[in-house]
Amino acid sequence: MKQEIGKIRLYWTSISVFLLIGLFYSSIYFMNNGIMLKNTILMEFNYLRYKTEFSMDSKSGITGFFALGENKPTSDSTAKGIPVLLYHGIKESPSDYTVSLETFKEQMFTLKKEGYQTVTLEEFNDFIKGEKELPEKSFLLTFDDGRKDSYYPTDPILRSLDYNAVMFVITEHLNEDYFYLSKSELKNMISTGRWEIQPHGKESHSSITIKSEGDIGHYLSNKMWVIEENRLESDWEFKTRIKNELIESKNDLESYFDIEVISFAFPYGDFGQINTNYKESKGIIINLAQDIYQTVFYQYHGTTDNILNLPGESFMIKRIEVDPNWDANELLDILERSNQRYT
Amino acid sequence: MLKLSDSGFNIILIILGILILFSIVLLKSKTASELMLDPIMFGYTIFITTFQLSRILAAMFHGKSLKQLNGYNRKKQKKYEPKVTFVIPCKDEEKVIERTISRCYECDYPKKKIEVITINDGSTDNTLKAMKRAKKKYKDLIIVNWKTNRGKRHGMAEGIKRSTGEIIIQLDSDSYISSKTFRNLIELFRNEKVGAVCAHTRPDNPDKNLLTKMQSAYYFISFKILKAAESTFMKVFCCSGCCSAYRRSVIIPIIDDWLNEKFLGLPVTWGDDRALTNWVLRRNYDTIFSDDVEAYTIVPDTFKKFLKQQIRWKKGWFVNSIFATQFIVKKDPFVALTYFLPLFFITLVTPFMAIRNLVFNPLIRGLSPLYYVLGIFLVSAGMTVYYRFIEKENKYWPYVFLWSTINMFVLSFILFYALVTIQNRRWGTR
Repeated sequence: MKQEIGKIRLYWTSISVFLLIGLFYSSIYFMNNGIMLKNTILMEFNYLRYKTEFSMDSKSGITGFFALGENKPTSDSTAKGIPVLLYHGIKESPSDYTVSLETFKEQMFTLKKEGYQTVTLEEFNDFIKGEKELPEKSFLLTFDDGRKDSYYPTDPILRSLDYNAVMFVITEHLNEDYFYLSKSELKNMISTGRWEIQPHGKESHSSITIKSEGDIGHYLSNKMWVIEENRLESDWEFKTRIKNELIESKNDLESYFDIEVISFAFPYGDFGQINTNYKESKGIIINLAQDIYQTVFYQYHGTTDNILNLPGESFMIKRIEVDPNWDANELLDILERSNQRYT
Repeated sequence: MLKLSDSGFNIILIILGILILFSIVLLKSKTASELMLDPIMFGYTIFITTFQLSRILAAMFHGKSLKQLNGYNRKKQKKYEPKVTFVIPCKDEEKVIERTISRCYECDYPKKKIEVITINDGSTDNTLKAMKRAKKKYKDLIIVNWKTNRGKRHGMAEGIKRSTGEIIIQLDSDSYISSKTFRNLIELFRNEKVGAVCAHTRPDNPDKNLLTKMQSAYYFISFKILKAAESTFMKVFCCSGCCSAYRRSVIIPIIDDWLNEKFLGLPVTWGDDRALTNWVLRRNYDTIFSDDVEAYTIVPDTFKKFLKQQIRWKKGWFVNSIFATQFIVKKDPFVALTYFLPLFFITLVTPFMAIRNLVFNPLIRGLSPLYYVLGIFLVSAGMTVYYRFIEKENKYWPYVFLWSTINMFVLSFILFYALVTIQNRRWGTR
């Protein structure tokens, strides 16, 4: 009997110790990864919600819900040009650089229902180079800055619509873990197959001193004020700084992730075309960028004019920066009108 | 209504249990970041949660442990019918004593082998008359009549000394054992290592009001989980006073030591059941709990009576735990280290934790007590899942949460009051 009781004590002790260690380590584990876990669960849930909502909306019903991967555009004609959309953050309520989640959802749902389909960056670049044809109503979806709030809310929507997007990230922020997406989050994004990560500058999203008075300006489009020597940097110094910035942005991402960096989005969409203390900057920036990237992206604010990017036209890509005040139909209108110009 | 099969019901409970465990982990991780600044607190909450869960775990092993009692099964074919003596001390119980006595004789057991000794401990009502009425019906009834009140412990000692049965069953004046399950109680004494057996006790007045319903839930947990867990290791620390059986040969030699026990110079007037169990353990006998034996007792139905009882129990717990520390480490280091000493420590620390989390943190540091309260309810929920698992038809389970609430806000603090007034040795009535 002693032995039998001993056995029970042994079993009980083992399980209890296991429980103690398990509780301890899992608590610590979830303390560190709890937010990620919560987000994952939330995103799965939202994905199903959007998926249901969209199939109800588009009256495709239960078959629409299960029609995975059959959402490719049906249009037979090929696109003359392709529009590129730009968003920054997506949050519950809109503000500068932030479109509300509801609006974003409506916009994507509307585009999908009208037969629009996203393309990948590689497809897009090949199209611009004139090496590939793409169906009509193709568009490229991009996000700038690599903010957490542009990935977590939107990914379930993109997933439910079989859309993909490009995230342009500021490479010096990848070790932070509060506002910007971290490296591990970006890795997760890449692994979903829905996201391509491309650079949005390393330091160039921050401002520099451009005058003796201490005025500040954009990093790429201005000569920097060398405070110690009380002078503006030389042409050569400017060129080197810009070149390094463009190269390092690319190298950073290629070393962090197993990806090919082929495009660059100018911080603030500024490549010297707006305000500058150095007239030649625009030409220098464009020349340098052309050597390093297949395409570079900037914001294009004329809406009635030509907003499509045509094959062979330019490696400088115009993006429509979606205004937080536009609703889904306004955005659709802009795309439809620009398409009509070429049909 | 959807009717669930038993296995379906159990599967849902298992899933619920896993969910609760997971929620506990999430809750701990939620508080962990704050507690990281305070690693001792974090360690403590992990420890206390594990401790509580380990009790449920131990209770799960109880059935296995009982089966392995030597001879319990093997010698079953041989008849085991020792003489039993019921000892019922009482004071001012004219209403119930007659019925309690007849219930002893009505047990499913040879009448010749039942002896009943009842002690009238200086009653001021008609208790003696009621006893005499009972004697007319049961000629063998032994009545001990004391003109002045001496206290329950003396009454019990007197009854035990006069007894002739091999097994002594100590009953409260308002308790009884279900006749059908009586033999199960005696069966357990086949094993000679067993010195005392505690029956599973339920309130006899469970539906009277909210308080009694709550106590039904509490009794269920405290017997079927906590005592069962103790019994898994053959060391029940309190063979409950309302209904427990002792081997006469084990307690006779120590009866005077037990009777004259003193704490801080004064005789101890409460916790006699714990004290007697202590003596059995000290003599190296096993004390076990059996859920095959059903007993019933009247529980307090007013909050005042309930509080008084709780205070007596806390005092009894404290004094006898002090006594027990003197021998348990030597007699059973395993139980001492994995259960007894942690419990002693936790029970003393709990009121301080409650003050810290319910008063100090919200008022001084502006921290919400939500997680603390949630943590306690999650553990209660874990217990409730097991509760439902072992007795599906028991309807009092929602009151577990009421019990936890009262325990958190009132009962854990009573310990302070009990300790402060520990030198008050009046013989409190039940």
